[in-house]
Amino acid sequence: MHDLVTKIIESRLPSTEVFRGLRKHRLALIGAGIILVLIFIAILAPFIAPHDPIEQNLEHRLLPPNAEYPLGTDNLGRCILSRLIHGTSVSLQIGVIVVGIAATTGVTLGLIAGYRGGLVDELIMRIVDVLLAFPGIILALAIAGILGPSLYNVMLALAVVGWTSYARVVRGSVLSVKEKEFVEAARALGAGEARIMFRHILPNVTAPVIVMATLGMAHVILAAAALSFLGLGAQPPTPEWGSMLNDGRAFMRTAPHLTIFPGLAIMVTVLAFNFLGDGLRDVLDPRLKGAAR
Amino acid sequence: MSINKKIISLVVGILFLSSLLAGCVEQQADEQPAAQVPQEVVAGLGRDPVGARGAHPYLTRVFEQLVILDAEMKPRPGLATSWEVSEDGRTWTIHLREGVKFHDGTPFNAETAKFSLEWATRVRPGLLGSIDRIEIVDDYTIKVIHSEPHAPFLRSLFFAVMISPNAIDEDDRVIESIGTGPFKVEDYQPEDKLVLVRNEAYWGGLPKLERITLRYIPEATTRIMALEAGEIDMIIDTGGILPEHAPVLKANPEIEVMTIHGVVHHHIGFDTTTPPFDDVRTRKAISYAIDPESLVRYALEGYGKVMNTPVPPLYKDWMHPDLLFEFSDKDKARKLLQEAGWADMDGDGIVEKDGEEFKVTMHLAGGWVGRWPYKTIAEIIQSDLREIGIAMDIDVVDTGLYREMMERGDVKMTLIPIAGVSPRSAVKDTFHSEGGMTVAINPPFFSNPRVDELTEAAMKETDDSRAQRLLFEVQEIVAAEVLMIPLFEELMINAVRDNIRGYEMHPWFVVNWEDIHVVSEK
Repeated sequence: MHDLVTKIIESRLPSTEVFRGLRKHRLALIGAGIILVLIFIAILAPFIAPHDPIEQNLEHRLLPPNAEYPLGTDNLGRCILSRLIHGTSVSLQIGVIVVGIAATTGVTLGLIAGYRGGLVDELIMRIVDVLLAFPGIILALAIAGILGPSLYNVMLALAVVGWTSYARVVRGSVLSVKEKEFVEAARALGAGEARIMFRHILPNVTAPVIVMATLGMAHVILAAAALSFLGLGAQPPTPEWGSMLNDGRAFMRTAPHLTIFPGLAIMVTVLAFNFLGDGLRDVLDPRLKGAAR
Repeated sequence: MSINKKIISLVVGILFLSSLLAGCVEQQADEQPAAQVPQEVVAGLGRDPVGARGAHPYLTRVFEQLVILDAEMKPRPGLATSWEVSEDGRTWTIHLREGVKFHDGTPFNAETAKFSLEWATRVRPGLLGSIDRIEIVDDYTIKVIHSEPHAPFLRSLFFAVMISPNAIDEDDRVIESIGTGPFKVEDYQPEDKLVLVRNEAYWGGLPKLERITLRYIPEATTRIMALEAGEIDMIIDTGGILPEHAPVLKANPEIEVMTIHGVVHHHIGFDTTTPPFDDVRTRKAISYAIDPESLVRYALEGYGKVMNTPVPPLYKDWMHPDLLFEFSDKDKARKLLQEAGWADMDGDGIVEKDGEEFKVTMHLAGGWVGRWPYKTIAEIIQSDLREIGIAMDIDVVDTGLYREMMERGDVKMTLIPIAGVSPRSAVKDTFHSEGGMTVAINPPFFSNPRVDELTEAAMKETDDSRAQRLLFEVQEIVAAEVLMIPLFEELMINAVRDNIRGYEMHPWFVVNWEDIHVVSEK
């Protein structure tokens, strides 16, 4: 991990070059395209959804896909397509918020740990070790279980579990970057600690963070769906993909469309972020470039 | 090369032949006479069959009672052979069955019967009425003397199990489930399984089954999947199978789905002592907002019956003849809310009063969600309430936590199953301010002195028609005050695999284990 990170840093590329690199990476482009579409769906959800996602129409329950309900209805007669569309914004929001909190916390603590070293480093990294000693999803389950079931608690739980890997990677990068001449120069010019950390070191460690954050989106969306599936996340009637899967489980054999479509939505979204993340890593990491595919 | 090929084809040939032979052996096993089939059954259910007072008497049949209730809920002799009641209704003379022994060898007689009844009144005060004393007349006759008449006494004996004195510690806790029933406990893993073996010395004849394993499977879908896979042979108990799973099982030719109108009925309970439900108009608005008919049709898939009064249809004579509760009129519901001071000032669809939005959480016990379609029901109610401007959250909490929250008064609104062994006690347990022995919604949800008075009087009133009139008045008060909202009486769903014979369902989920047998291997 450590020297991979160093490689990534040393290969820091200007953003135009990143785009040029990505253009050659077909899967990453597909991933980026899907993500763009998802973002549009999420923003325009109230306008493009054919029905109210929480409106029940009990006489029309468990309908297979038809003209009025393109993906059918669930056990309470709600339009599955509309619920999926509104669920997109729920899932993307979870991803962005959790990854945002986790990355911000992780990067900041990683920077401080790496730059200051000594006791501070020791303290932060031992906390990271402790958190990493638990399987992430189990720890998140425990946290969400204690705080009570809600979407916010799930986000909090995933953020608490998620920041550690960012901190570790960033700290590793900082350790090598801080010995570089330009840091010495900044210090010699009398720059403050905060300035050195955030203005001089941070830009040099962003590449791996971007890759991690993209792959992290996929991971977080999946984990949130899993926790909602277990009843700890989104509460009814919130149209969340994981809880839609759970609701449909009892009807898996009599009305499989209740589980197939939310399942597909989760799969496509997670795949898209993974494709993009892989592409970014290939572009940002010359060592893997070409060799991976 | 060709030798290799020959070896390979030889090996394949041997494998093929041996698989054929294995098929033959299996077929032979199928044709074995029933007597040689191991008489062992694994049953799944949605709760732990062992509780604080030992093995569940009806589900496990480890314990027996002096009096049992038959499928029509009529009292029949159990460990008592006959009984007489004195003119004043206060003294019951009970004649006991002879030649019965507890699983530990202790003889069942007047002394142990007295011990068991006294223990029952200590752990469940009021269960058998106000017993003054129990006298031993001779070895097999006891006299139970009440300080005042207790009309449902005979039926309440169904709740008092005969337990060996060795089974209880000095704090009246059950340390071991030692009864007189056809099956005795061999092994118990809490929250997992209870293994029963037959009682070779059972007074009622040797049970056909040798061994029963009761598996606690909290998750409803897992339960039916286990049944379909043949991991379990039957699903028993009230709330054994969710209505939405019934069609899947019915489509399976190896499985028989059975139903019966049980004693369990379901309600919305709310805390009428604190806002917002301390105002009868808000409670009435809720009952106008919901539609039990559609709950039965869509959440229960028809496996239930609408109730219009808190007395279940099983006790038809005790049901108020009029339709007391009024439902499904959203305009009336909105009007009532308005009268109570709730109005949507900011146009967000949620009504407010004094600047506070009408938000309420419906708490559901996790254990009950795995047995009844409470979550679907709650979601339909949630949608109904949103239409009249009430924002309802649904919170499924662990059953232990749920009970704690109920005691602390943290639950404002919930769904509750209620069962009553007699119409008198069903009503008293549900509405008397001291609560009752079954699931209590009261306390802490309400207290009404007139209801207390009437239910107590009904317990003492030995004349049924007079008692019925008393309970009619209770039902009128409950409906006028909307102290709770009756939703439906459940049609209990159980299922057995086709190699299991003899199971007959009972409204109080008593399992006739001694008649059940296995006719062929799975």
